[in-house]
Amino acid sequence: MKNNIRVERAILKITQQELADRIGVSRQTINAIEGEKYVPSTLLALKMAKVFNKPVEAFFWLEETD
Amino acid sequence: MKTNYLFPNRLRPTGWILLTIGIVLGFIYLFYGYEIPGLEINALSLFPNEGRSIIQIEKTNITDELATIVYIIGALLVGFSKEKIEDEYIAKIRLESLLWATYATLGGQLVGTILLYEFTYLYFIFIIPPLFLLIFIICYYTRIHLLKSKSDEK
Repeated sequence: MKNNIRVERAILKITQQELADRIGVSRQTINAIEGEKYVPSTLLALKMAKVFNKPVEAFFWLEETD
Repeated sequence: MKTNYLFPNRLRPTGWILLTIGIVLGFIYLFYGYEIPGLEINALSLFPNEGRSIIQIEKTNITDELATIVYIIGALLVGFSKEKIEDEYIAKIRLESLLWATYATLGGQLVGTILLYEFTYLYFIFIIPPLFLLIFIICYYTRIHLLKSKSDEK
């Protein structure tokens, strides 16, 4: 699964730490999600959607191998 | 995220102290036969080897019991207390570490069963449960440490 959370963060001008604080996770977790080492739960994805004010599909999408 | 069945983060330092005491005490008991003087008590002993009763009062030094209890409580607090910020990724790392610790411990037991006999095997069997917790702790803390140091680089 791919994502462009880094871009969405840049649009809002918030750091990994600020995004982490807003959705209640550690900064390392945001880093792992952005690095595509970890696929978050639906709960976290929806919380991110709230922060970015966009639907989940706008920043997460499936790859052909998924 | 609600993660249940974990100890609060503030108990972790206590856990490290207990774990260290348990390891040191257990080590000097096992390898040097050291017993803390004055710890002889009349202990309740169930299903003793000798005698026909199922319950017996036995005078014993409780250094080894003390070391075991302190070690287990310490290891549980260190291994299963929450991170300062506990989230689902941390929970995943914890579960994966448990899986690897299970494979490593049982793998070790397989090898031990084939290669060790008599009292050596008995001693080996004694240390397997505490070893499992220790392998889990090493595995978990290594992964958390790597995670923190890797994400600091970026």
